[in-house]
Amino acid sequence: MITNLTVHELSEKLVSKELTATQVTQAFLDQIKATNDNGAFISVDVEGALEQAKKVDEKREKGEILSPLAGIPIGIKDNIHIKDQLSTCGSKMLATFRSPFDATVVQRMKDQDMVLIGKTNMDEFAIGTTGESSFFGPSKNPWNTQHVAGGSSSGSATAVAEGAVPIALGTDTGGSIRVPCAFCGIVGLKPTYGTLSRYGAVAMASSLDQIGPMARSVKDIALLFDAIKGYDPKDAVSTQEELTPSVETIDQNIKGIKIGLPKEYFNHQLKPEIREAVEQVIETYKELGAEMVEVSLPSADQVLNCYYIISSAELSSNLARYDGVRFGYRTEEYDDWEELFIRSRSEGFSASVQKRILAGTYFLSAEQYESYYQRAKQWQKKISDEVTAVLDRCDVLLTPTTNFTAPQLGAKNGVEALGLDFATVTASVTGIPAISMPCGLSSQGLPLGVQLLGAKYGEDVLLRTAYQYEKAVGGFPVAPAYRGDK
Amino acid sequence: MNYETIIGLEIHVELRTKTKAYCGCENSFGGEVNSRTCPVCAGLPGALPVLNEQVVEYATRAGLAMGCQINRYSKQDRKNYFYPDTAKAYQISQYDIPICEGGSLEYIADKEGNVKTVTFERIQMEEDAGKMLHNESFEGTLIDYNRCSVPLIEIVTNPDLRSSSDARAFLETLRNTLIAIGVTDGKMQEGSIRCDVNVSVRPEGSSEFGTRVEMKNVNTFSGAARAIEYESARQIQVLQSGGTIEQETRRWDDALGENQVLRTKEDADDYRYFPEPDLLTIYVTDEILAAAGKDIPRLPHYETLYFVNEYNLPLDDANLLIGQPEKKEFFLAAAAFNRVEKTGIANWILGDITRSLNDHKVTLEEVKLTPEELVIMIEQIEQGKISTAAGKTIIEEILLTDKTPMEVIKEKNLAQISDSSALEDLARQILEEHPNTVAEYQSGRTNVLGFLVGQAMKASKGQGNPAALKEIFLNLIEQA
Amino acid sequence: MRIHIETLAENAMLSLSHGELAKESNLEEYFENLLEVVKLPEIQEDLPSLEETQPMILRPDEIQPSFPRDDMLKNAPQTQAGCYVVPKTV
Repeated sequence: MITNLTVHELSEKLVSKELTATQVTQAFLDQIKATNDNGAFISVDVEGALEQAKKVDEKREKGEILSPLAGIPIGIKDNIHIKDQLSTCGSKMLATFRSPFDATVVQRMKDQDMVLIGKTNMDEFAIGTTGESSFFGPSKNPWNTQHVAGGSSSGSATAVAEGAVPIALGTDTGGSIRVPCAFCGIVGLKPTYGTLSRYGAVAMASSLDQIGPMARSVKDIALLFDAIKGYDPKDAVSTQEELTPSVETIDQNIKGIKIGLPKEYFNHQLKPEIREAVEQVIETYKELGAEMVEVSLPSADQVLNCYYIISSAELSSNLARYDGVRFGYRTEEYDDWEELFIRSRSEGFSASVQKRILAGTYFLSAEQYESYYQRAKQWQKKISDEVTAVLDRCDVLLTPTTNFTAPQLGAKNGVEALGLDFATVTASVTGIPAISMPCGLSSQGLPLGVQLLGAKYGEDVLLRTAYQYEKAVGGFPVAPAYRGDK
Repeated sequence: MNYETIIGLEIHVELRTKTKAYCGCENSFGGEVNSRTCPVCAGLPGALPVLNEQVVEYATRAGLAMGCQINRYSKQDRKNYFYPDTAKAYQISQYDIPICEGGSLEYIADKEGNVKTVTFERIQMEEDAGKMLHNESFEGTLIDYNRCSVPLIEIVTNPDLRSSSDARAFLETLRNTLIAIGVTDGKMQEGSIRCDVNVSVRPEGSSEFGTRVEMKNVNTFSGAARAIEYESARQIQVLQSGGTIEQETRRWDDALGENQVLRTKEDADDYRYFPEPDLLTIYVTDEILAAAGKDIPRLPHYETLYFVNEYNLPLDDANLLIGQPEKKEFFLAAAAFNRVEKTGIANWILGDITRSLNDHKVTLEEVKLTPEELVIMIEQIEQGKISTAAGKTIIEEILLTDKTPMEVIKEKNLAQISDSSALEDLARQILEEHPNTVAEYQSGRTNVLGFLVGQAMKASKGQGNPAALKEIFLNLIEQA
Repeated sequence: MRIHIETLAENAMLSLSHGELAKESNLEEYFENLLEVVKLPEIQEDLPSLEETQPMILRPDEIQPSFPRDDMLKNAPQTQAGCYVVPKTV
């Protein structure tokens, strides 16, 4: 069945002409239709996708040499712009917003002849860890639709796990790719800050936001990452660093590689079955010839607050432009411009987003700046120094991705307080790359996730380490209910 | 009690870069509304700023020209505030580490040529806001973002100024300086230079500063002078009647000649400054520094003094010429012929020629008048061959055509009759026609002489030389 | 710690009495708890000086075509004569 295939499997069949891009695209469009109730997509470009697939088939017929990604359908998180298509950010505020320009990553995917099949659901403005804050309703977890997909890149995770797309793009500010990947049993990479252009991705917290690929194979992640990474003159923070291609070395063995285990991330809050699953991963790595090193990141307990302060501060400023003048929701009743602004914002943003804005406004206020924002920057420096020191001794670090499995839909309030992103924010605050991949199922049959963290710009090592595990366990399948061939 | 007025200025200067501060949209004035915008300058979701290198170079050049310390490493910060003309709801500015610190500018404070100095706190880079258009026929306010994100430098002075006339003289000099080094076009009517004025007063002899009031909406230098005088008088009056000055921002209304409270200290905005996360450190490279410092010309106030001494020009004329590069060049070219009075050249350029240019809405560069033609024309006047009035006619005629002054003189028959025998005949004839005038003059009503000259001019159709005629009439009356 | 949530809302141009936040209860309490929970301990940690940070690449001063006005205005809730519209500001 086409929708069970990974990107590199599809790519091989396209190149050998065993399948056409049109067949592939149609198969995924059918799966999107069949899984519609899971709420993975906000909009689907049926016509555009089929047209693009046809173009790819024509090019291939003419004998043109195409990218391995040509004809591969992809889902794009709804905060990444495709020219003339909706970019709602999962918010009432932008429910009808159509971008007049392509994001740089989108432009690069178009250049590779990929099929941009639709825009995926997400927590409102990428703020959230469960996916439930979307104005368009939550995305459901394909492994158990009573449970959340995780967020904020909820729709992308759902879509990949249910076989509605072989690969998707998400954004990750504090764990928004990795948390839903862990919950939905797929692989997701948050690259080093600055390696993928942010141009055309709607900002949540500018100094932390990164776009990243989500798929069912590490190799697919590497393929897409290599294709869209690199310097973009439209993003002033994008790196000019020469980035090693990760696909070329992904098959090499990892004998002698040093994996650090930061003890603070194996704490009492970690659910025993996740601990056991992660220990199994460690065993597998030992069998692959890796060396385990116990390390410590003493400031681990401060990372979540550090993240919360910096991200809230930045988002309060980034979300100030939504005032009902140039784009977005506008209130119906107002007497003056101030009332227009206030009412549009108060009606257009959900309460949870408004609360984050208020918190960020407080952190940046002249009176509180030093005790909150500036202090958070100091902690950020300290945490980064600790992480750098540890990564000087190890090649990668290994932690669980989350302390919990996907909560039930509607249980949000209880979960929020528990810090779903406890283990993921570390890579965000320090700017290093991190990948989450599946490591078994809970007793309830929900996926569990393990996270690997690498050195800055060390995606090649990170992806190779991850891929060797994937190979050892035989890959990560589509959620059972959607495999269709069992 | 006598009071001293303390003035500090914050001057916003639009830089004459080709593109805006953070995007490739053209930086120019006028044109169709919202025709020079893009997702970046209009603040669309997902767009990101990328700083224009030329902005850094111009800010550095301004700093170098005025002796500032250049911070090779600086950064930008967000100044958060809501207003319909601000597309992102924050202005990208510089908070704690501006590109330039310190520095100063000397200026000529009065007609006697006394030189004073204003020192600077800093020069920072930032971006302009859009424009709000108000129209009687429409009940809302329209917003045009063409100006949004046009690059600015803000020059913050120390409170060194003590009078409105000093402030005005300084502002003129600053403007001339920035034009001379090429970082701005300095067009006041296009809002290229705007300033906020901080005013406080204190008893003369006191060394402590009084509470300062900031004034916004000061759009011209003469307006700045009026605003300072008004505010200083207002504060003195408050103090003299036993009141205290509140720290507040007031809005200057130049038409009414008064200001009103805009906001008090209590409701002052908290701008929530923080480092702009979309940008990294700004580094002034050796290349930028070299380009910024290249060929910085003699600063205008030195040039003003040079013009006053070398050409005997009045201070005001010298200032005016230096503030308008193409007129200055024209003057220098004409002066180089060394055939006529330099003051005359300046008069003609700043007077009738400027008027004609304005009437025709053209610039000196666009017209056919050459410096040599102006010299020839002035020469004719100085030699008494034509009248000043004829000169004005000549300017009008040759400004936009290929005609030379001599051709116009011929064509329009503008040459004055200075031949004394011809004029004497004419004068005798006039006296015969008005026989009572001699007696009137002799009885002390000397203004009758003007009447006689006027009659003679009329009879000669304007070609008689009035000075020569006056001489002749006097002689004839004496002989009578 | 007392927080002035009204001031905060005013600065953020949000309403406490209208729209989504009006449906929330105990906001003040929520924020007081939150701000206490997320407050980080004071530390001695020097932030890197600018000299130690990565300078950015600047943009050459070259004109790029602007966007067609219609493309820019198409998402605006109200337009008039090629402009965005707000209620009178003066």
